[in-house]
Amino acid sequence: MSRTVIVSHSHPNLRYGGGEVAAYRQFEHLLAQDEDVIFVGSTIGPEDSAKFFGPSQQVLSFGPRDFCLRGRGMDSFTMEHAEVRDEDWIFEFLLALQGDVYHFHHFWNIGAGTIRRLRAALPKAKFICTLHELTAICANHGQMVKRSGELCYASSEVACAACVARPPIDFVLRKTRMLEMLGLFNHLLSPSEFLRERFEDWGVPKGRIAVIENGLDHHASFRPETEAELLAKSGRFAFFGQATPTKGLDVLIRAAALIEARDEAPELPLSIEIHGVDKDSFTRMWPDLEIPDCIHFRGRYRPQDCVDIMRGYGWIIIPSVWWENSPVVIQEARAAGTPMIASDIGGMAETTAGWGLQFRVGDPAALASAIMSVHGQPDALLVHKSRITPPLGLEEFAAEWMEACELRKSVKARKLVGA
Amino acid sequence: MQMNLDFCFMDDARIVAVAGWTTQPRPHLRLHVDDKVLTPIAVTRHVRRDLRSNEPMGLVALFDLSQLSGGSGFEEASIHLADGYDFTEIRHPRLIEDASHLVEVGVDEVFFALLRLIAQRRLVLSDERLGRDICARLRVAPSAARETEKHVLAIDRCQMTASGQGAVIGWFLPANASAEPLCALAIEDETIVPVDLLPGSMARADLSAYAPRYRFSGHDGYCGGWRFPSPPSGAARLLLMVPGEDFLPGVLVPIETVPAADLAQHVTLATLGIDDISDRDRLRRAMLPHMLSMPRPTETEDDKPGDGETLLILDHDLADGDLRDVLRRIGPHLPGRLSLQLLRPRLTGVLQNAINGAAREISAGLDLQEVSLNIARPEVMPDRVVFARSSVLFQFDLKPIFAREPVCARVTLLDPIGTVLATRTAQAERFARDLLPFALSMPAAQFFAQLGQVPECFLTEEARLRLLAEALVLQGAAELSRADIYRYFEGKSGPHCENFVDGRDWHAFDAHSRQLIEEASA
Repeated sequence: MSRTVIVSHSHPNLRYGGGEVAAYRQFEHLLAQDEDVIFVGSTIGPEDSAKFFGPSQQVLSFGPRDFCLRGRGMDSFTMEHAEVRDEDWIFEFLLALQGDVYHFHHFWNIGAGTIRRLRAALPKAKFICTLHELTAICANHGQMVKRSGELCYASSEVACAACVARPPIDFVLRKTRMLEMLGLFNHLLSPSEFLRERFEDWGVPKGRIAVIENGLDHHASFRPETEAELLAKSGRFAFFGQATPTKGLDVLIRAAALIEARDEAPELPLSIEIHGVDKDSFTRMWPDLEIPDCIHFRGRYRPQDCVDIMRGYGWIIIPSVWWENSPVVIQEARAAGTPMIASDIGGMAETTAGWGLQFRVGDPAALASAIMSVHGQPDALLVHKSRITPPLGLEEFAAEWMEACELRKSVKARKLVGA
Repeated sequence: MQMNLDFCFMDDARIVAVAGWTTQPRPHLRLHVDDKVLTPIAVTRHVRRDLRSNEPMGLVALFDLSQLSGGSGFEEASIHLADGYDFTEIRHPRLIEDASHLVEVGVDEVFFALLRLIAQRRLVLSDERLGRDICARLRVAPSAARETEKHVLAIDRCQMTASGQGAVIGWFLPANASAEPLCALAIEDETIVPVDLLPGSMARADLSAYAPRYRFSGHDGYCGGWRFPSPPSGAARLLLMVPGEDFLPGVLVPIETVPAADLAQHVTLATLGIDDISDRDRLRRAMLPHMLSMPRPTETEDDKPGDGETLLILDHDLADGDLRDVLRRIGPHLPGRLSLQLLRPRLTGVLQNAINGAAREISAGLDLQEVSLNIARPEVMPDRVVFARSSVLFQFDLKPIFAREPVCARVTLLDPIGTVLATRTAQAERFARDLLPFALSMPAAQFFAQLGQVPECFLTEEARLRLLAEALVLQGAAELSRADIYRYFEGKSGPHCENFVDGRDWHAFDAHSRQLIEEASA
């Protein structure tokens, strides 16, 4: 009998980021397969904790196997708890679960010290870590984008010191700590080749990281679209994401402005709809940007509705100005059968290769050209749609995960004491 | 009229002082030593109230016998004081005993004149008993007023470290010009030391409002430094002797004991205010010993391996939270328990947390023994002592630094050009001059015995330990190895990396101190 503990830096009941969503989907799938699996998430900081927890409450249970710990907030530079007593608590909690397999999705809010001590306490357990972004390498929010705005291609003590304004020795220490921690895992997983290569270039030995894309359950097939539907969709573009600077929404707005400034109005009306961001939050972020007429803000959406919403568009645009890893929005677009127009770097270039259009990152003119090259072109849309392969389903993900991590499927879930 | 000779004594530098009085304004004094005739190198005059006169009939004349060739002593010599054609024989015992007599029974005016000569370093009297007697007499002496019709004296800072280095900064405006300078003595229970005072050395344009009453020059700031030969055991005072003040010893000021870094900060600032650049090092030099003697190996009782306990004396120059990583990485290399002396002024919550975290990961055990900027001798002697900065421990190979064997002292240093210039002397020179990163590991008993020989005159303990390591290297008493790394970054955290107003950190401050001592003793 084998117990798997899936540990995430956040909990999707509270926050809906890619890493925690992937972790939770894995948990739900294994649970549905009658596996002995436990999910441990966390609030990401004191603000969230204060919202959901009582003053002395340490853990929220969403189910007999589904827990959310009270996160105290963690400096992502050190990746350690500020108070060792908080580390003690999480360490003891995770130890008490007596997992045979601990699969960490991220280590933020968990702490390098927790992982080291758990590893030392459970030398026979299998430790797995999925790398969801570049935090271990990059102290600037793990995005490998310099504070000056330029893309960063490799970390070094001196370059990072110049970027983050800390002494170079701090980066020697940080890298040592991170590599040591990653060295404690039996298996490292990456959802993209891009991320694997970055980690290998940085210092993780080649061959240590296996690439498995995140699992996403989806419809097996869709009804074929008529020519009229294709024509209509070829004029409809959409963005799904947040109003953070690195998501590149400003690039899209500038591109739309360039299109509108052209002398000839397109025969087919152009519409670009923004999901996940409302007009107010956009204006707060970019107060000087004028919003073109073709842009329509649709506000927040339910994650479970995302694929269905995407199906209503011809193209999904992902204009991020950082590398991205394996954004869930790309998987969802694949699940919706909707092609993408993506920045030509990192995880976006890799995961949209063959079925998407790519444009020079951060360049509104290039994005405008890419949009106009397919606008009102149902044939082009059809061709790109036909090239889309569906994302990895959770069943397939679980199979690849077990193979990569040399796991055997359990026959039956172990009953939890008191559950 | 012949000079009335009250006292006649010789100081440590073979200067003979004759003290007495005469009505002659310019007495024709000579000292006959056998067939040699000496004229005074200095004559000072003072008023004596016991003579019922306002004329400066009191006199102290100094004769320099050090220039006379032959013989280490003057026991056999015939010595006479001549005033015109009158001769007074000076018997040898007076040269030894009269200084004490002066301090004991001399009238105040001659006693104060003696103090001024000591303060001006014209007389050097290092006899401990004499020092005690002077201190005892001064203990009950009244202080002169800081502001009178004749002068105004201000003391902005008068501070001293626990080890006995001190500095005074202030300003002085006399009403009348005087040939005598402002001078000072630092006084503690049983010791007096002259203050190297630089009167009129610092621009003080802000004092111009005093101009009608006093002689304002615009450069009326003074500063001065001193160093007691051993750490003062109690309260100390400064005696500032004002020119023309014959009836009182001078202005007595309590000396505030402050942390060494605070004094260094104030001295650095004062140094920048000294107008004449050639005088700037004088203030610092006055606070330092005249020479640095290299520590020597000593007989120690116990160099045999014990239970493997290591005392780590750590200058944590990284972020406070990173102390955990530094300590826990040592864990696997420890032969026994680890005791920690942290060279920080205080234990912060983050440091405590880091130590607690490391303790959970070091199976051999970890004790925090001391948090102080100064090394403390442990009550129970551990096996070995290791000293290093955290940045060194993090980037050097830890295994040889913490190894139990060999038992001898071991110095590990980063010398980027060590393979090119590998002689022991060249390496030791670079080690001191370039402040090469190093770790010192040695048996604890030897460590403390030899460290005790290095004077406590630096801001950082590292400066003392560098001297110790250098001595061990030069004497061939340590196993020397080079850190096999090509990329090294210094830490920039902790008090030792804090900059003074001149942009130098504590290590650079100490390096300059050492340079000043070496220049003075060269």
